[in-house]
Amino acid sequence: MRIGVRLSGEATDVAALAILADALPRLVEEPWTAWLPELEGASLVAHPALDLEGARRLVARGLPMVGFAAEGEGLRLVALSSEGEDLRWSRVRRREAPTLAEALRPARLAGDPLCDEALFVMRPDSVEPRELLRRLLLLERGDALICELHVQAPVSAGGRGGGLLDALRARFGRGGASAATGPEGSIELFAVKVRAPPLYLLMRARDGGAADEVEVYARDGQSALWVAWGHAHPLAGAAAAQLARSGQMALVDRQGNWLRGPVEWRTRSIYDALLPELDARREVLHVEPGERRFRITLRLAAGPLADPELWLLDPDQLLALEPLIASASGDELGRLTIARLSDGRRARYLLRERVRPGVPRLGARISESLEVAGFARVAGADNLYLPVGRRLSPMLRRDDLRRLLGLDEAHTVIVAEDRDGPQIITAPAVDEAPLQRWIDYVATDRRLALDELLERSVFEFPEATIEWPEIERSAPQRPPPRERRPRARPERPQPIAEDPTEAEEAAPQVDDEGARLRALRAEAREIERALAVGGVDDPDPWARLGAIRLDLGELDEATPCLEVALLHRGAPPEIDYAGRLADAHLALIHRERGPDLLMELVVTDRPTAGESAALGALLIERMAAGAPPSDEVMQIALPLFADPRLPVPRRLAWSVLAAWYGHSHDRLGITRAKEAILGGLNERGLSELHDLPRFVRHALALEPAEDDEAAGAGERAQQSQLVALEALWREAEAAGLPELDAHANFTRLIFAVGFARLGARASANEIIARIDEEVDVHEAPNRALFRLYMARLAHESSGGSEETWAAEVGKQLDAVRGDKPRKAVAWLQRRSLWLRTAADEGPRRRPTYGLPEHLDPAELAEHLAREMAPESGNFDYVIADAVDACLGRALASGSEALIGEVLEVAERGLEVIDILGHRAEAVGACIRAAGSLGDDALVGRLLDQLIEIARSPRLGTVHELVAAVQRGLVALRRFGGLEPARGLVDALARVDTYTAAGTIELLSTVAIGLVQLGEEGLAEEIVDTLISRTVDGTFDYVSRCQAGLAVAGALRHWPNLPRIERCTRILRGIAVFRDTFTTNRYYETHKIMILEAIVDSLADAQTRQSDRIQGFLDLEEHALRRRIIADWSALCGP
Amino acid sequence: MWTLDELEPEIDEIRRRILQHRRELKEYFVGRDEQVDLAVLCAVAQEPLLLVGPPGTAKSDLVVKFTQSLGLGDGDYFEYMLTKFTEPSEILGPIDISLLKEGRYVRRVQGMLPSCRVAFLDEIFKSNSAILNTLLTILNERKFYQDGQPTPVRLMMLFAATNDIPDQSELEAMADRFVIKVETRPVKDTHFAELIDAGIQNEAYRASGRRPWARSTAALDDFLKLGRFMELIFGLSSEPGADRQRWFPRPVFAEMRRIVRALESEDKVMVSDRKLVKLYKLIRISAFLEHGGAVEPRDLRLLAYVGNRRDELAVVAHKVHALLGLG
Repeated sequence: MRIGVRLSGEATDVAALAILADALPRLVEEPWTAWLPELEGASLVAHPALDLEGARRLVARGLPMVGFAAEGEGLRLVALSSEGEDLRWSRVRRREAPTLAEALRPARLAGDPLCDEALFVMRPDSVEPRELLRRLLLLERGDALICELHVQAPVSAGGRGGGLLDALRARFGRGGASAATGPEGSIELFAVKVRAPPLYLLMRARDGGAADEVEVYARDGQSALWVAWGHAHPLAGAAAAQLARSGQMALVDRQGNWLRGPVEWRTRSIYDALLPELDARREVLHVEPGERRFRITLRLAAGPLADPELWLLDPDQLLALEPLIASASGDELGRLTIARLSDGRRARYLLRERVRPGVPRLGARISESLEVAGFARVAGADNLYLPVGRRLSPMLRRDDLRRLLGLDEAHTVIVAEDRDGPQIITAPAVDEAPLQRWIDYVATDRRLALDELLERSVFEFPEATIEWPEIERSAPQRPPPRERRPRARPERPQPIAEDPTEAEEAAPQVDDEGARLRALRAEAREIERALAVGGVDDPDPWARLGAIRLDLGELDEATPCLEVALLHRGAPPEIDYAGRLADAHLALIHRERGPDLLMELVVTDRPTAGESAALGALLIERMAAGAPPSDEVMQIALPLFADPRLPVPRRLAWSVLAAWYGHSHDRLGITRAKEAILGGLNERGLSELHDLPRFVRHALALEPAEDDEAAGAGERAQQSQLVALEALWREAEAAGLPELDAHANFTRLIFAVGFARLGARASANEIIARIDEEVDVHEAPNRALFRLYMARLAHESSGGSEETWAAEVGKQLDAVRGDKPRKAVAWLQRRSLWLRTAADEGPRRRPTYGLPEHLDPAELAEHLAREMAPESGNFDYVIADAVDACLGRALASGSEALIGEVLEVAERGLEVIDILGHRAEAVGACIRAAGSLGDDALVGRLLDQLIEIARSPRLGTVHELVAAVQRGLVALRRFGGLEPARGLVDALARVDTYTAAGTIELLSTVAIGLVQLGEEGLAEEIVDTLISRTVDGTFDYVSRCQAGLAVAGALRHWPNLPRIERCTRILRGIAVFRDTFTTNRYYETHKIMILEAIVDSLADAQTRQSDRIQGFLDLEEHALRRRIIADWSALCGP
Repeated sequence: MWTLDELEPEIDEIRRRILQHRRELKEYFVGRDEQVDLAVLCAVAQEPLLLVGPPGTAKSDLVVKFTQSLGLGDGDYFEYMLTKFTEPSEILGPIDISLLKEGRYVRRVQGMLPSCRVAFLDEIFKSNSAILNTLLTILNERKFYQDGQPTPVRLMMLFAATNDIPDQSELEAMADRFVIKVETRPVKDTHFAELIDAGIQNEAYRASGRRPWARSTAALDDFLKLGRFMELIFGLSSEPGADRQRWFPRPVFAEMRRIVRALESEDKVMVSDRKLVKLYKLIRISAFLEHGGAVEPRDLRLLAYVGNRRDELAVVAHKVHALLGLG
């Protein structure tokens, strides 16, 4: 009996053979004999050197060693290990192999494995190559290669190798037996090599047909060992190493037969093996001599916006140049030329800007000033001008254009357009002169007109001297400050006790109860102070505050606290909180618990906010108690909480939704709910009405300094404002308010209105007491204005409506006799902060873009891409509005994927918006969306764009930029992006825009942003710098006034103390706010405007309070977002 | 319910009528032959069909005309556009409040999805989980729950449309129920003039209230009879594999296996066990409908519609056509 190793054809063979190779390394390279039964996979390999003793040692190492002996055509196997069993293989095939690796049969792999590379071997003259190549081409796999490889069977086995080759020749040779032959003992095979072969082709080759004409070999990596596909060689590593040593490759078939060949084969592309044919009729076209030309009508179409540089003016329009000339610098005027032309009927003026590289263009300013759009030069044609934003369509070759428009014969050609269509205006010659040469003539002309006007004025109003009796010029006396007398505490009614002993016992109880309540209130105030900062997501203090409020019987104060506690406790809901909350809500709507209560609330048609909240609390309570309502009930109830338009507190709504979907493990449900709630938050934020606990409003009404007991605890902002205004009034008085002086009276009236706004009507009346007496001595416009201010004072005290005020203004203006005085009154009335009406403020810019009504949110990105495409022809402001509208709709969907998609399109298309102001608007909208996604990288990129826009000399007005910055800051605060927000304001604080007015507006916005972010130190620095530059005369007089107004506006957001200090500084410098308006004969417009602005700023408590409340809501919203994401992730995964 | 003996004598005539009906219906559309073929096939097999495509590609029009052509009676057809705010009551019928107060959750289903025979749900993937879960039960088990009790539904044919198939794992189960998903693409680039002519003709039909497609050759019963016939044929022999051995030649079956494996392995197209069985059934019915005999390689073209996500649909179609050598 001989000794051998029984192999199963499974993965365990790999380990067994590794042990064998390790135990008997020298035998690996020696000849072995294999017995292959018909049973696929199993085999037996034996070497003459294997003996019983050695086999026992190998058995001990876990090798399946067997003894075997031939039995007829079969083999009998005796297991040498105790676990093995004896076997009999009825028919076996014997094969000699030169090495162990070549004796082994590859193991079948499970399934249909993919491989790196496959070799399809087939008969070249069969149908298979054609089919294979056709399918490869259909699958777009033209990278496959045709190979011709010569292989030979092992020579050491005598005639055995020849037999194998004969079989191969019969199978794969050309024409069957007449096989392609190579060198002696070898055969040339036709094969197709395919990288990452399609599984379909591998399976098709394996499944084969009746002829079985394709064999597939596969390999992974760059191994020289190709094994029949679907099989793996159990000693692949050793076999590959052996082949590498011999510099050969080998094909190993399913039975383990080896065919060796050289590593390098001759290959060619499969296209080289194709003989393509197309079964089609043929038709040949020939060149037809001759040339035909076609008439194409040119038209003016929407084109890119460019700065105008040429204006064709009528004589009337020419006069409109005056304000521009007055404000332009000498250098700027030096760049303008003018020429007088005539069309035979009237004079026309050609104004041209000589464009210099690197110098800011004047075009936009000139067009704005003249209210004439102007013409822009066509790129590539020096003397052709088209209306701004238009181009000639279709595009022609330059030479054709020159010929058509006669550009070579003319000095200037303008293609204008009006209602009748395009018009070609040609100027064959132009006598241009610098505009500066014309200025003297124009100016002289106007001065003469002015002199005439003055003469007439003198004639109409003869000089008169009016003598007035001496009036005591002392300032009005302030009443002495009222002493604060401690209010006598009313005597507590004594309990009437029949039994003196009982009375003695009851009194300490009352005291104890009182002390307990006092302690509770003190504790509540302490917790409130901590919670009023916003964003506290620790449920414990909220729960404690809710409990205290319940204890104090303040149910409406308790419910929001318990709702927040419930929200932040997370799933599953806390039964205790939920129970208390339900009790409180039910008590608030005067309902009692009962078996039908839940159902009644569920089916209530149009529930009130209280009923909705009670239902939410009851639902959470049921879920917390482990007795959730049925699916049907929830199907009716849930829409109430998932619809952000309904008046349900957002926190409670999410608690209900999260609890239910968490309970039902409904991932789609919670995803939809998340989108609904986040969409609502994105669109509206938290509601001051439903989501702001009442105590926050009270807590935030105290300024931090005022909150300090040393500074007078309990003092509210309005009282301290009154004190501050009084201080400012004293300052104004000290500077001198002479009698019979119009400006002094305006000052008194402005302060009086301020006092009235703060409810100090008595102080107001006292201040203006003398004005009534002296009003008649003032000029008519001032008299009317005094009366208007007094009317305003009454209006402030009575809290009248806008309509009432407009009617009052109309009445007063009508009462002024004469056009000129009326105009003088109207001049200030329209500019004054307090005297103007809503109609004087002018209409606000409305969005110019509306989304299609039924646009599917999923198509927003595609829609926006179309709107932003250059070929859409949309103006920049339309694109900016489209970006805003699309992002707004995406945000309202609450779907982060959708927001991201639309945002990506918007960001990519920002460059399309050429006008920087509008681009800034679009960037602002993008920042809002990016903030909602928490995409810091994108936010950073967008903020960089804003900063770049601010620095650009191409930025015209900063209004849009400022709006974008404000919007970005609001969004970043809401979405928790405080760091990027700080980064933005910090960067913008160092930006000087192209104009002083722009810098002022931007810096004041930045200062407000900093205050709202709590960076008050830096904000004060900016405002102080602005005030210094304002009062020291750095700016021109218009910018100076703008700066003063901007600073006063910004100061509204400041705490009281620094606000007073800075208002006082402006007041002290009021003298610098001069103006050159013609009305300063009566009053000084800028001084009045500045005075109004600082008094109004000082008397404004609302802005600061709103800022703080909004700050709280922002932080709360951010906390709610975090909670929503956490709950959603807990169910759906991160 | 019809028996095989009743159906056998007239089945060829039914087949002819259905094919004629299909040809007639195609005349009212431009470039929608593929979708009409699949609608007819799914109607016979009583399998849901999902039409995927951008707005304005005749998805609704196709389903509406097809259902009108079936000569349905009152209450047999239900159509609804779903949104994320659609409540189950809008599809399944409102809960009877008077019964609800007695503690019974009973829906009034008259004229709603559970009581109709053919339904069209537009924007199906926008609905919320309550609706999707109910739809899954209806599609799987042909029943829904009234007051906790399973109640059979009459629904036989469900057509659904969507602009997109969201890539959300929560929606996979519903997407998998639609074995066949077909894209509807704009045809204006290839059929510019025909599209306008047909569109204007449709406007004229609408204005005059005429519905010539409703005068069709086949009726709903024909579709139901053919479906029933195929069910009886499938159950003819109790021996496993008998239907396959008789009607699905081995090489064609091997081809189907290869294509399915290739789609799964190379294109990661998920073909669930349930879907594979349904595919077999659809291919068999398609073969019978088209040529009345055993499955041929060309019948495997149905595999082109097994993609699950929108981006897969075109890839799968291209690949299946290439593998089948259909160009």
